[in-house]
Amino acid sequence: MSKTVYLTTPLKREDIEDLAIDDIVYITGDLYTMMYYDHFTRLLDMKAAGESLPMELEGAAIYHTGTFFKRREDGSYDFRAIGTTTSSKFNSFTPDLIRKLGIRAILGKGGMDRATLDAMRECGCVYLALAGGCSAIYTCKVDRLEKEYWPESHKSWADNMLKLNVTSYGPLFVSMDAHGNSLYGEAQGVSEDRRDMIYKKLGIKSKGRES
Amino acid sequence: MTELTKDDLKKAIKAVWIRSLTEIQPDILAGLEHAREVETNPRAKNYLDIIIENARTATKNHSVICQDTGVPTFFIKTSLGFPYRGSLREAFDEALHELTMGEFPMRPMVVDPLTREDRCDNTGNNVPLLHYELEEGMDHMEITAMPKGAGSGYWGTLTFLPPSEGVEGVKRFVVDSVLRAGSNPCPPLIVGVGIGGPLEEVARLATAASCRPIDRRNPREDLAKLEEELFEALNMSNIGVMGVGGDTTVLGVNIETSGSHKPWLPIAVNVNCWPGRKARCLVYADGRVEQVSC
Repeated sequence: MSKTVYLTTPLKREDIEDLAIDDIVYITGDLYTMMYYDHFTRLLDMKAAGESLPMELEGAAIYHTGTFFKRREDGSYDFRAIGTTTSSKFNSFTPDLIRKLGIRAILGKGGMDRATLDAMRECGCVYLALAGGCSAIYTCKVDRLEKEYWPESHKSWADNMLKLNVTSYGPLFVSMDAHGNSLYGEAQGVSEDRRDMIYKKLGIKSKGRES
Repeated sequence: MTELTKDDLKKAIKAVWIRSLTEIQPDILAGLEHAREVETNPRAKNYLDIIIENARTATKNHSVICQDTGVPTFFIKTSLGFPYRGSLREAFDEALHELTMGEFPMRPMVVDPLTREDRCDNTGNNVPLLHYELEEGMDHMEITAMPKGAGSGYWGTLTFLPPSEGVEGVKRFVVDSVLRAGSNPCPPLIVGVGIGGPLEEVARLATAASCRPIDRRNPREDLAKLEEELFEALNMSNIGVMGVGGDTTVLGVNIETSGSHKPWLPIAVNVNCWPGRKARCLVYADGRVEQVSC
């Protein structure tokens, strides 16, 4: 039986380990948006060099997104849109991010790979899925854009890592838990059995060059 | 003779582009609602509810369906006699620039493919992309906007099969393309398949195919049957809405063909995410604009 859980950041390991596939989570507190490779490499490089990060990521929730906003002249922000982006783009950086920085929740779409699932189990982290292409409903759930990191690193005002304040942000679906379970077994690498079934249905006898 | 002015054309471009980002077309909404009725997987049902709510909210609030407003892509159809003497390039560039910079702020998506230089206004070399088609006798200009987002655009495929592979090879390539994309391009998908022509034609066909209403089959009987067969088979993949499994992986499969060369069987697959964004308008010489579905 799935449960609905309201969590506040920073997230505690025991709360995360208590979550199971199909639970529904609402988060209150801060979300850190990440959308480009250099957001990940910058954090990991700084950590490796022993530098202190400009945000506290122990127990943090990160959000795979695209955003757009305008900086007003008085320095405040006109936050205009947010929606989730494809998480699998960040597969290669994520196990390190979980192990070295203490991330406890990843918000995204489409799921992530086996190596990420292993790191989640090892360190106590979950993957919380949202519906892709749904900016109209997810944008009005953000209270405030609190801070923009490294605004000089991208020329476009839309491309920086952000800290957002949210209240009961969700529904977020637990889709990879901290115990090695993932909903994306087939979707992230469709099984050969399934392919064979479809081939048979369509009368395809031989495998092609692509498969 | 009344001539269309650049200002009126720009107004029409802006309106159709905004519609393509904020309004879901009736064929796609009907497809989603039907999927919601027949879907047996409760997780997929949850997502379909959210998706449909989002589509309705975007239209009602005049806000974007998806934050990724994509590469601005337009198909323009008119006749040589249509009275517009201005620059089409200037009209489209200015329209996108003015929207992005203030009238309808959008995230800048377009960069140079190699230097990654970003003009920050959704224009670039040849972007907005303008595809032209001439049709004799048209007394208006038809503009179709198709924003192409990153998540689904990434998974497009194209190959030249040896003709000996025939229909079986075509089926296999479509299936392999969709399975390879998996949960990544925001399923349920609208799959556009192009078959025939040389390189540029097969890619254009795949894109044109994904613009046709998903409830309208190809008029050629064998192709209509192939569309239906592929639709049914792809929905057996269990990829499902947002990758959570279930009965709904594709909302539609459309095929378009052109003649090809004897030693070729070119095929391209264009994968569109669930909103299947598209919008069309008809612009008349006196500046009148008719918004139509497509």
